[in-house]
Amino acid sequence: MDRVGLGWRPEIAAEIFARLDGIDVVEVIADDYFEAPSREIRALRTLAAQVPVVLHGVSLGLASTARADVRRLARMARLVDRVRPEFWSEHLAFVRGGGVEIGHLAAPPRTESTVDGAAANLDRARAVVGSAPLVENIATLIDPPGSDLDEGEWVRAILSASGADLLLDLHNLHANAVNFGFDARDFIRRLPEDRIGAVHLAGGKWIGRLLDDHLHDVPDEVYDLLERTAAHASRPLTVILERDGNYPPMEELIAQLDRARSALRAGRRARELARV
Amino acid sequence: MSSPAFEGFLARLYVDSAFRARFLADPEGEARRAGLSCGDQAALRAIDRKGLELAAHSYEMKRRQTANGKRNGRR
Amino acid sequence: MNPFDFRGPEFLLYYAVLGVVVVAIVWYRRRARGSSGLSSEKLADPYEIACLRGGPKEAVRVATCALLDRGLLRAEETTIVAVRPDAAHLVGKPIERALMKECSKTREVTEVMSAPPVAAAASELEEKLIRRGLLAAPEGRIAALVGMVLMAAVALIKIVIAFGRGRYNVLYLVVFAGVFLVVLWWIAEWRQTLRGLRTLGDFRTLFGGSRAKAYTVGRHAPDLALLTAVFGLAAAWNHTRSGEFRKLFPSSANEKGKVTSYGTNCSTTWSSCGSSFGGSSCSSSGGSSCGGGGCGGGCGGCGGS
Repeated sequence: MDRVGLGWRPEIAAEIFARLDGIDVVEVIADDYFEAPSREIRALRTLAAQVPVVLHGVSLGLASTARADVRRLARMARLVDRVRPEFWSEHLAFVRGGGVEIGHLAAPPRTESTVDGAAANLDRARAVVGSAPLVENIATLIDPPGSDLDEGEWVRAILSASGADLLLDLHNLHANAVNFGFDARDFIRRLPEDRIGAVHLAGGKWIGRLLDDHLHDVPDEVYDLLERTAAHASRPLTVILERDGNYPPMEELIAQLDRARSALRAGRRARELARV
Repeated sequence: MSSPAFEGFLARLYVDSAFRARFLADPEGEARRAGLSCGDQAALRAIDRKGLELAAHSYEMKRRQTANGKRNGRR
Repeated sequence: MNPFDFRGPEFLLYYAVLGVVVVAIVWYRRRARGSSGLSSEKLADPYEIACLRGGPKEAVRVATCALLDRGLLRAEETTIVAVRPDAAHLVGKPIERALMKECSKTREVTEVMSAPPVAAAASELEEKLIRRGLLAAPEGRIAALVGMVLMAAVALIKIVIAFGRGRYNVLYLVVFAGVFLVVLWWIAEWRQTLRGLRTLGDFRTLFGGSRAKAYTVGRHAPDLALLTAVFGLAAAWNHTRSGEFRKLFPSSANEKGKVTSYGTNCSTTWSSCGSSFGGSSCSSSGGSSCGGGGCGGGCGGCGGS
């Protein structure tokens, strides 16, 4: 069954908890807990007893020709072991290279070598952590230099080579489609229908290109993409609304979750009708 | 195409503003001095300049935000 | 061998060992019985959390403030009244319904709190927490009292025997007895089990970073009940109705220990102040590329602001 939830953020933690009747799942940023004291990890376990929790990593840099750092993987493994989330996820990005930390997610060149690199790193992640992450498509402000595959081909190739499932970030997809001129709906149509496990929703702003900043409401176009995803995907979806600041009142966030639920229902109805 | 060396070059472009300025003045030269292949040099010559500036600025803002968060006692 | 025939030092050793064993048994019954090592309780009802932290009366205080915030009760000095006399059907939880029914006309808050239906609804919360192993069962208290009687009786018997034999150097025995009686009394006063304590501590950790926002008049704060349940009424210090809360519950809302945006309510037992407050520092704005305030992380870029 599809479910809808929010990113867990300490600033609005109490508001989220007070509205768990309208929230099916929360997503916790794993990196915030790698060096946390035991009592914070234990508190996450208590949270996981109240509501399903999933973990979301941001610093492994798995989509790279460079080998993923096994110490970072081990850190993730320890956290996954202690918190026991329903699943964990990471990004199809690189975050460091040549000893330089970029400090954020960067799109690697979309080539066969980064497909192979991502697949090898995902194998390593599976071996160290005990499970492979869902992998998320990222937004990029720069057309990744040195690419010879388009984003859709590249993502599908990684899914095929690695066996990992996709966390489809619809605002990232929307932003890339707007910025680089391709059809987001076509991207969704071409995804293997049984490999989409989760979805992110977010908002952004225009800065000369569309920026995925998680500080604005989810735009209509992204709800439309959610409906299309629900019409296409064969598996239940976990949909997470990502909001990192500029928080509106909680009832507005809950309203966005409800709108997501409506989009999911509409998509699933369309899928049923198409199969009849 | 793409290698740890190419990714390292990109990472430095995103993070090091002085290096980025030198690169934008002579992309192939910097790529050659970094020992990158001809294919990589050609790719960098055709780099999305507008995107590069936007991305670099974005990454710098993010690094500052992270540093402020750590100074404020947040991880 | 009759311990009461032991000489002084030997008897003191025997008494000390007996005391340690009795304290250990009582401690186990009062706090640890039924506790797993981990907090894995499903506990989302703010009134249950308030009762866990501060007892049934604290649950009533938190519920009263929540109903005031939601505009269902109105306060004037130390009295409260339902905004509409038939409004009990507007609320879902038993303690809220009991409060609304008792407030169909203006009454002193102390009267309402001790009204039998309100007290019964609050006691039901406490019983639920006992059944779930989060609060210590009453039998544990009885065990502590039995322990106190046992230790007092053993000491007294020895003192009587000693006096009968012309021996009056009983000071150390009196001191030992005093120490064990104080410890046992202290344990008897504990409310929460280890699991209950840990659960409370986890909630403080989870919500310690929650924003201290300016509550908007006329818009109810969904987290008010939760934050006051976890941290005490002082957590509502910047609520527009905080003045009303203070007048209704002066000892709770003005609780000493308010060192940050939210105070801690240490009014019930030492254990409710045991966890450090505001310890959560896991804002994703600091550490992660994805998620964060200010610039906002996003998972693909963050532009200038």
